[in-house]
Parts: sequence; structure tokens; C-alpha cells
Amino acid sequence: MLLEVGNASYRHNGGGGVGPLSFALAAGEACLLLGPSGSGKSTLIQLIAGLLTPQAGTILVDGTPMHALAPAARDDLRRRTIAIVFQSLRLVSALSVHANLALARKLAGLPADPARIATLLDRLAIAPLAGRLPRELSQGEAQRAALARALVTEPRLLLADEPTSALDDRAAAAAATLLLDSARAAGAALLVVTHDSRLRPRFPRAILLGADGRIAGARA
Amino acid sequence: MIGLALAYLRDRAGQSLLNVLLLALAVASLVALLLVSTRVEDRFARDSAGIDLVVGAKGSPLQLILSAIFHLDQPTGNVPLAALAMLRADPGVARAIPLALGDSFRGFRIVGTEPAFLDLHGSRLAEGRPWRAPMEAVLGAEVARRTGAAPGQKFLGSHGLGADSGEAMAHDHAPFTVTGILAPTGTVADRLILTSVESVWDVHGIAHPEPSAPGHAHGDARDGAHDHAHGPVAPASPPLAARAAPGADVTAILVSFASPAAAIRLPAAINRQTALQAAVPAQETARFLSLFAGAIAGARVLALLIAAAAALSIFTVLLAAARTRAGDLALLRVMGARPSTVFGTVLLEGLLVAAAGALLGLLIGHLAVELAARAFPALAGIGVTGLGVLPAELAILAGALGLGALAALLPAAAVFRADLAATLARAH
Ligand SMILES: Nc1ncnc2c1ncn2[C@@H]1O[C@H](COP(=O)(O)OP(=O)(O)OP(=O)(O)O)[C@@H](O)[C@H]1O
Ligand SMILES: [Mg+2]
Repeated sequence: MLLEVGNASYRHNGGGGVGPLSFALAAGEACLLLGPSGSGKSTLIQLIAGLLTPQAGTILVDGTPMHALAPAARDDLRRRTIAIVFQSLRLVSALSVHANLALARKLAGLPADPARIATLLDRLAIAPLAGRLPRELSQGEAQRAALARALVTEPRLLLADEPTSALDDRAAAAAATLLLDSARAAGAALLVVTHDSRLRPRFPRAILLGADGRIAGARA
Repeated sequence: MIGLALAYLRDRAGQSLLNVLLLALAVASLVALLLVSTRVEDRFARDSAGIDLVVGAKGSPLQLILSAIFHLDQPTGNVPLAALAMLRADPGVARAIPLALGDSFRGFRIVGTEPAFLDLHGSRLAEGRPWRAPMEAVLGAEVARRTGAAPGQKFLGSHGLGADSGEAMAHDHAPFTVTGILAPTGTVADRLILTSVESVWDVHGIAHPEPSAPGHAHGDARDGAHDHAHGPVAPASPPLAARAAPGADVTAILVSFASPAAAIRLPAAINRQTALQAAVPAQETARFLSLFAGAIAGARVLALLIAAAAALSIFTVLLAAARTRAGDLALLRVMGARPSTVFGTVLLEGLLVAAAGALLGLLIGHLAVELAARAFPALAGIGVTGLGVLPAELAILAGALGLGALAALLPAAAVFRADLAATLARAH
């Protein structure tokens, strides 16, 4: 299992949060986590990425309990394994779309690959925007660019937080197809958390999150 | 990470440019002050090298030094030739060189002196031969360059030492002939026209025996050394004092001591004589430079204040940027950048601003000083030039870089305290 969430939970100071919940994700597997706003989807992403430490339960990434690692080792595991598309924070503000992708590869320790960047941008239909700064993009364009930024690092675990919230139906469908295709092609596990039920029929597996942050149901 | 640092600088180009300019202003002021004070002190030291004492008419000692060594001010008056003889008779005096001033050619002073004057400044003839007969003259390197004069050409001196001595005042009855041109020395000699004391007397109609006339036995123990000092360029003429008619004066006498003891005895002894004064160049130049020292120190404080303001501005901009950029920096961390890498990027921004400001400042400083030197010949006259780099400029450069790093340190260090989860959860 590339990702194992075992009875993990986290509560913020105000009482909101996620879990306890359990699920697992195999390499190459794609899963949709569908839940209403405030159900703790973004919190779960941060727990899996090792940015938050679960208050109970365990989270194993590639068999390793992330929160038990020293900060540097945790950073290293994340760098090698995970790419994240954040809900609001998408790109490095001072860099063009293309430069964001190039930097992402560099920071992940991968060799430069302009051809891969070009292909990705093309498939997301943002190739003409490669030279633009993030603030010169629309919400949907920025979301696709963030997606490209995550995919370009060839992650083994791709976490996406509301990757389609700002996209119209066609772009959302294209993004979902791209996410699924890229994950499958790379043999990466894919976890998409969203309240966007348009995505549900596209994913082979979906977990439903209740408003209380616990699993309310699943569909294989 | 330099690409990222540059990208962030470009992203707020206005502020970056302002900080660069602010720092450049400070560095330019410091460099200009350094250049002017160093060059002037250098020039003064070189011009007065080998001159322990200047003897001239009573008056301001500073004026005597400025007129007789640096050829900047008007002379204090004349001294009788007997004074020269007296000095040469003194065992404490190794060398005494007379100067006769009064005329100029196109703003360059015509100095009646003896060939020993050439040794004083290490002058070599680049062309032609030294002056021998009356009304022969040797031009300093800059004089030759500016006037385009060559050996064999004749010119008329005009009365007065000012740069604007009119041609109307020319001594047209007595043209000089250029016999030689001196190689550049970087001293005052470059700007002088040298001739014999007799030539200056001739121009002013002061009677004196011809140099070819045999001198009276003088019995002066200094004669041997005197002749020797002339070396190969010595005109075969008897001592000046022996040739002069009564009433023939010189303007000042440059004296080198034979022993340290003379430094204590001679100035006091000379100053006791009613007609003479002795001025010590080292003391007077120190006093002269101290006149400017206050102004230079004040300007330096001002420049340092500007530098501090620049550092503060860099600090404020980077701190504000670190705040608005907290999301970016967190994203970079999650993308795999090490804390030290992100820290380095912010630090590099400060350093790049500092480096750009320092380099621009150096350039502006040199340019300003050079332009000033070209616009005001008086400045060039005291050795001011914007050309050439001084070792101390490296210290200014290092200081500016240090300032930039210091200003960036705190904003950069914020990276280590950042709460990634909270920052990433916040809306962009
Ligand atoms: N830093 C925080 N401090 C306190 N409470 C928080 C914090 N972050 C989130 N919460 C609360 O935790 C709960 C889960 O938040 P989270 O952002 O994970 O929800 P979400 O499912 O991602 O919602 P959305 O679909 O709107 O993005 C919410 O009730 C939220 O108010
Ligand atoms: Mg969310």
C-alpha cells in the first residue's frame, strides 16, 4: 500500500477537523474523496502530506509513518513521493507558468525536461499561457497550471485538493481525465478530495465523507 | 536559486530599483569622498616629498606652502638672494632650490629655478634637452599636452600667475624657446614651465651678469654637492648668488635638511629674521587638509546615514515581501525546497540589491569625480581624478554587501519559523 490511513484524526482548536477515519490506497490506484465544505478534506490532505501530525491513529506513506520522521527526513520523503495541488495556493507568484513547472522539477531533484512540460501544458490546453505570471491567469487556468506543476514532478502519490472547483464542465472533465491518465501512466496513486460531485462517475472508487469528518459511505 | 531571487526582485521592480538607487547614492558619496581625499593627500605627499622646509617672505605659512610647492596660491612676496646663500652655507641644509615666480603661459606657471628641481620630483626629459641659456624653457608633460608645444617652438609668458592672464599683458619683448619636454610624473611638475632664475629676471628687466661670466670665488662648501645634484642636466654656470646684481630676489626657497637636528634648529632660526619665514610642508598640508577634514567627515556621516536608510529600506521591503510571500515560501517548501534554500533565496535578494547598488554607486562615484575634475581644472590640479580604483573601495563594496545581507537576515530567518500547514490553509 502506498498510503494507509489507520483511524487517524485531527481536530483544530475550534473543534473542526477530520476523522477518525481509515482507508488505504495502492500504487496506481485512483480514489475520489467526496465531502461537503468543512468536512475536513483539506485537513486530511495536510495530514497525509505530513504538514500536520495526526492526534490519533497513524498515516503511513509508502510504509513509513511520516509524522514519526525528523523534519528533514519528512521533507525528503515528501519531496521524493508526493505532489500536492492545493486548494487556494497554486503557483509561485513571481514565476511564469513554465518557470513554475521547471522549478518544481528542479526542487523534486529531477532533470530538466522541457518536452514533458510542453506536452503537459498542451494537454491541459494552457500551452499559450506558459509565459504568463500566475496573477495574469484566470482561476481555472491557474488551477490547470497548478495541476501541471504537480504532475510534472512525476509523483508516486498525487494529492489534489479541489482541483476542479473553478473549472467549467469541459475543463473539469479534461482535468479529471488528465489526472487519472497521468496517475495510471506513472503508476502513481491518486487521491482527489472535492465537493465537486461532477467527478464522481469518472473515478473507479469514491469515499464519501460526512460533515462530521468521518467516512459516511464508499463505492467501489 | 539566483533565478528565483531575481524573479522576486523583478516582481516588485519599483521597490527594488528604489533600494538599489538609495544604496548607490550612499556608496557613490562614500567613494567620491574617498577618491577626493585620497587623491589630494596622495598628491600633496608626492609634491612635497623631499621638501622639509620652504623659506619665503613673511605672511601666511599655508599660503607660502600652497604657492611654492603646489603652485596653487599667490606667493607671499620675495626673499633676497642672500637668504639662499645663507641657507647653502648652513651645514644643516642638504639642498636649497630657489624658485622665481611671476609669469605664466596659458595658465601654466613659469618657474625660474635650478635643475635640482627636476630631481625633487623625479622628472626625466621625454624629449629635447634641459634649459641652459637664458630664455630657454622645459615644459611639464601636461603643459606640453595641453598647449601642443614642441621643442624649438617659442612662446611668450604673460605677467601674473592666474589661469586667465591675458595675452595683452604678454612680455612680448622676451620670448621663451622650448628646449625640452618632461615625462609625466604625476606631480605638480607636470603643470609647470621650468626655466632658469635668470630668465625670469630677464623678463622683468632685472639686471644680472650673464651666466657665462665667471663667478666670484664663493668658498661655499655646498658648491660641490650642489653641482653634483645637477647631474647630467646641470648647466655649466656658477652659483646663482654669485651672479646676481643687488636687488635680484627669488620668490621662495625649497630646503631639504641634512640632519634631523636641522629640523629643530633651522625653522626657528629663520623665523627670527624679520624678512623671512620658514614653513614646514608636512605641518601646513596637515593643517590645510584638516580644514577639509571636518567637511569630509560631515559628508561621510551623511553618506553613512543614507547607507543606513538604504539598509532599513531593504529590510522593510524584504520583511513586507516575506509576509505577502509567506504562501509562496510555504509552497516552495512543500515543492521540495529545503528551509536553507528558501532562506538563501531571500538572503540573495538582499545581496543582489546591495551588489547592484554598490556597483552602481562605484560607477557613479568615479564618474562624478572624474566629471568634476574635468569641469574644474583646479580640482584636477590638486590631483583629483575619477580614474583608477583604490583598495579602500573594496572595503566599501564589502560593507554594502554586508549591509544588504544584514538587512535580509531577519526576513530570511522568518522561513525557519513559518507554520506551513497554517500558511497553506489560508487563502491566497
Ligand atoms: N487552522 C484552522 N484552525 C481552526 N479551525 C480550522 C482550521 N482549518 C480548518 N479548520 C476547521 O476544520 C474544519 C475542516 O476544515 P477543512 O479546511 O479541512 O475543510 P474542507 O473539507 O477542506 O472544506 P472546503 O470544502 O470548504 O475546502 C472546518 O470546520 C474548519 O472550519
Ligand atoms: Mg478544503
